[in-house]
Amino acid sequence: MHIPDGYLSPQTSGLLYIISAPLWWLSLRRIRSSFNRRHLPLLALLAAFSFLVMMFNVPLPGGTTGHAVGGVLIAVLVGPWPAMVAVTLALAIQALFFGDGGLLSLGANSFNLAFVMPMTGYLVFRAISGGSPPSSRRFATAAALGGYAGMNIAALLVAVELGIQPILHHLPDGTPLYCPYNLKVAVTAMMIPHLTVGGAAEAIVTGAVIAFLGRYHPELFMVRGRGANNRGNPEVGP
Amino acid sequence: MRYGKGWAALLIMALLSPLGILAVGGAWGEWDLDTLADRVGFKPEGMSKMERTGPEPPLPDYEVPGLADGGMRSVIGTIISAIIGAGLTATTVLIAGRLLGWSSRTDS
Repeated sequence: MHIPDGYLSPQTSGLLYIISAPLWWLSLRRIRSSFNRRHLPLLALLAAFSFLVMMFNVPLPGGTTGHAVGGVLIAVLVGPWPAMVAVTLALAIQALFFGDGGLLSLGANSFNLAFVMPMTGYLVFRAISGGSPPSSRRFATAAALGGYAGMNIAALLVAVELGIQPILHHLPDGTPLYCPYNLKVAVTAMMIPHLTVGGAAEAIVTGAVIAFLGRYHPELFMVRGRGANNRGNPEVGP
Repeated sequence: MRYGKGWAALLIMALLSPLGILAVGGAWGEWDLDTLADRVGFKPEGMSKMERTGPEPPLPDYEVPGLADGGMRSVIGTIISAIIGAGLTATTVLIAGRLLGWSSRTDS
C-alpha cells in the first residue's frame, strides 16, 4: 500500500499533502499536550516496530504480496495521534532510504497508513473493547478487529485514490496518464486480498501483541494521556 | 536501557526479516514503470514523467548494493537494511521529539 510516485497525479499527490498537513500539525500538538515525555522512547520503539513489521511480506490471494503495518497496535497502546507521528516517520524513512513508496506520494501514504488506518482501527477497537481491562480477552479481540478494520479501510482508500486516476487524468482518447487501472479493477484487486489475508495479518499482529502486553506488561497501557483514556486508568505514567 | 526487552524483540524481528522477501511477487499497484507497462501494454505518459522524483534511495528494495545476489548475500543485506531502517526510524522519532521541545515538557 506504499503508493510509488507516478501512480497518483501531481494534483492528487498535492491535495493529499494538503490534507495531511493539518493532521500532522494536530498530531504533534496533541502529543505535546497530552503525551507524557517519558514515553518518547516507547514511541521510538513502536515506530521502529512498524518499520520492521512492514518488511514481512506475506503472499496474498491473486499473486501479490502484502504486510501488516502495526498502526492500530500503536494506536491501542499510545493513542491514534502519536501513532500518526510514528507511522509517518517510518514511511518517510522507507521512502527516502529504501525507495518504498514515493516522496511526492508521501502525503497520500501518510494519510492512508498513518492517519486513516490507526484512527479508524482505534475507533473500532474502542467501540468493541468498552471498559474491558487490557489483560482481558475482549480487549485483545477488540484490538485484533480494529486491526482488521483499519487495514481494510486503508486498502479501500488506496484503491479509490488509484482507481479515480483514469477518470481524472486521461488523454483525449481516454488513455490514462497515471495509474491505468479503473475503480472497479483497483477495488477488486485491493479488497479481495486484504479482506482475507491482509486484514487477517494485521489482526493477528495487533491481537497477539496486545494480548501478550496486556498480560505481561499491563503498565504500558497507562501511557496514553488525557482524552484518550476512558477506562478509569490513572493518567500518570509508570 | 528503557524497554530493553522491546528492543531485543525488534532485533529478533530484524534478524528474521529476510523471511519477508520469500513471498513471491510484489504488492499490487507498486510495480515499477517497466513492469506496469508489461502488464497493461503501455507506459502511461504522466507516469513516465513523474517516476523517480527526488534522490535515489541508498538501499533500494531493502537490499545493500553489492549484497544483492538473491541468495545468502541478499539475506545479510536485508538484515542490515532492517537494522539501519529501524534504527533510523527510532532515532528520527527521538530527534523530532527533542526538536519539538517535547522532552522539556514537565509531567502533568
